[in-house]
Amino acid sequence: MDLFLDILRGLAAVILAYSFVFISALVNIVFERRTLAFMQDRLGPNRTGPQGILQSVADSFKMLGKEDFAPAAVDKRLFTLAPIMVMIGAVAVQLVIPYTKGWTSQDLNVGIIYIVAVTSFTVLAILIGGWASHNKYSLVGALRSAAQMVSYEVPMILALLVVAMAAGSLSLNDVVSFQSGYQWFVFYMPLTFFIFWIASIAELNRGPFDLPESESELVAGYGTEYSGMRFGMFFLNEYAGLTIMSMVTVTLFFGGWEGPGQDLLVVYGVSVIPFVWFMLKTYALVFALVWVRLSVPRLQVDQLMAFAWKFLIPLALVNILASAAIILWAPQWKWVMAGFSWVLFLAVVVLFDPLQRRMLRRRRAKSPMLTRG
Amino acid sequence: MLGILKALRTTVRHLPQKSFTVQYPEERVELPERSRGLFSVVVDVPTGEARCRACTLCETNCPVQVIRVDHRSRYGLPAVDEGAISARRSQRHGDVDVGPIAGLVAGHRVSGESLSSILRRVQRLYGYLPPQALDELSRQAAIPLSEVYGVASTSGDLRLSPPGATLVAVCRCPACQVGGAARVEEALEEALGVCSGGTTDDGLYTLGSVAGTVACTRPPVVVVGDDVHFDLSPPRVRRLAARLGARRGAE
Repeated sequence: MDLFLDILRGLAAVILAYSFVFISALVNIVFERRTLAFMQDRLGPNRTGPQGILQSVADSFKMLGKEDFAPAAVDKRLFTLAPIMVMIGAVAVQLVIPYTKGWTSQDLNVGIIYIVAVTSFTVLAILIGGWASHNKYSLVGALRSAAQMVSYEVPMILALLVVAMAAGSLSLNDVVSFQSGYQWFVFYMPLTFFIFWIASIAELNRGPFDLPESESELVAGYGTEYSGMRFGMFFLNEYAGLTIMSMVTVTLFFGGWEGPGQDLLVVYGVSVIPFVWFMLKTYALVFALVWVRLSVPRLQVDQLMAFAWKFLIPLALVNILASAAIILWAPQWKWVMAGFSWVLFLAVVVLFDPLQRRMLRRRRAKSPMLTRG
Repeated sequence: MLGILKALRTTVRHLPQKSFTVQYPEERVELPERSRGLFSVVVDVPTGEARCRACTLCETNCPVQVIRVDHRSRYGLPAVDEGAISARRSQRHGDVDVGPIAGLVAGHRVSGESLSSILRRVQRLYGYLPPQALDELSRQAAIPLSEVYGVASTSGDLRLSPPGATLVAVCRCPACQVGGAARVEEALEEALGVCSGGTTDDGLYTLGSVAGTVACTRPPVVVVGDDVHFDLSPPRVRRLAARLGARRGAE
């Protein structure tokens, strides 16, 4: 009987996770299109359904109605596998995310490592898709994408390690309960959050790091040969990623489901109000991602790599070493950590531009032909 | 990073701003009052022939006089009685010798003179800007007639109809404005029966305006032909208006 209940529970979790991915993707597409439109003084899609909320539903039906086409030269099995696999990361991550008090599908004691491991499936799927397409554009796009994601995974993991060290656990439930009492990590380690967030934008392949499939510049990157719902799967995954990655960020840095009125409404041992807080925080971050995408111009490919390897990773290394030392030795380490992290964070924000400018001046002085990068 | 913050600030400021989108079937752009849309020749689809028969009715009735029917058109129209058309044109506007226009335009080509200054020369030649002259000018200088008309109709000192024998000009300098130029103008408009810029039916007076005279230390000022009337108190304005009106009646 217990086994049966466990299976049922597992099934419910998987169905919930899948529906979450699809629904959040559809919601995010409309959300992004309308937010971008408002920021550009336009209206955006507002015809399908009230205020256009059904636009992406209509779009996905259009996609479903298209021919399921595979070019003759592709490796059929891999070509089919890639769009299926691309979802795994987004779905599987939800296994360990504590949505609310009393609802975590599986409280893994290695949750953070699990997240890092499972999100890499997206890279794999992109590589498979690019390889199976038998098309140079696809392959180059896939390799660029893989290079980018692998590069930015390093600072991301380095930032996650700081969180794990501070919380003293790799379990996400422990991370959330460690932050209770509004001692959110973002308050006393903003630098770590900053590194993690930039890396996560790059992981999501979004502006300003959206070169692998920069719509306005390239052939569609790894998705060149994909059409119809196969393309739709890549597309949905990308937009579901917004929500999933924001949920991870909220769990790690913004106290997860914490908020006022935690125990007002409890159904079968699951609190409802904290879930609302969780989603509110998540969508605040999704808005931030959309906002950044619109505001910051796309990087060059060499700048992209240079930013990861020459700036973000050294910064993350300094951060992790100093944080480890502070956590290990400093009494009242939260205050010391806050001081260190805020000072370095503000220094990075303020000094980045002048230092960059100075570096460019020097390089131009050496070789006058060089104008950029 | 500060630059990025600046960019973020710019974009978020636009978030609550009003959208420029005009949702077409429900909303319409409000066109300027003088907008008349675009011209087109309607082509009969089955035969492929233009429906225009070069009747020049549109040319006659165009409120801004920018239509010119070119009946030697490439649409393969039936032969038109050119003589009748040109007769009708000259009947409408009187005979105007457009010969000197060519010389003016040639000068324009050499010196790059502006359109408005050519138009002033044309006005000096005829006393006003006759439609035939504008037409000829646009042809010779290869400037669209609408553009020529646009400049001609927006410059205050260019006239599109012949002026009256005497110009009655109300001064509109600041001193005269303060001194009541508006009411003086109103009184004169009433006495002459035309709006500012218009010419009386008998072609005797044109009511216009000047900006500054020698007598503006004693406003308001009205210039009638060569006479300058200043210090116009309400009774004096009435007397002046009555005198102008009486002279009309006498002739």
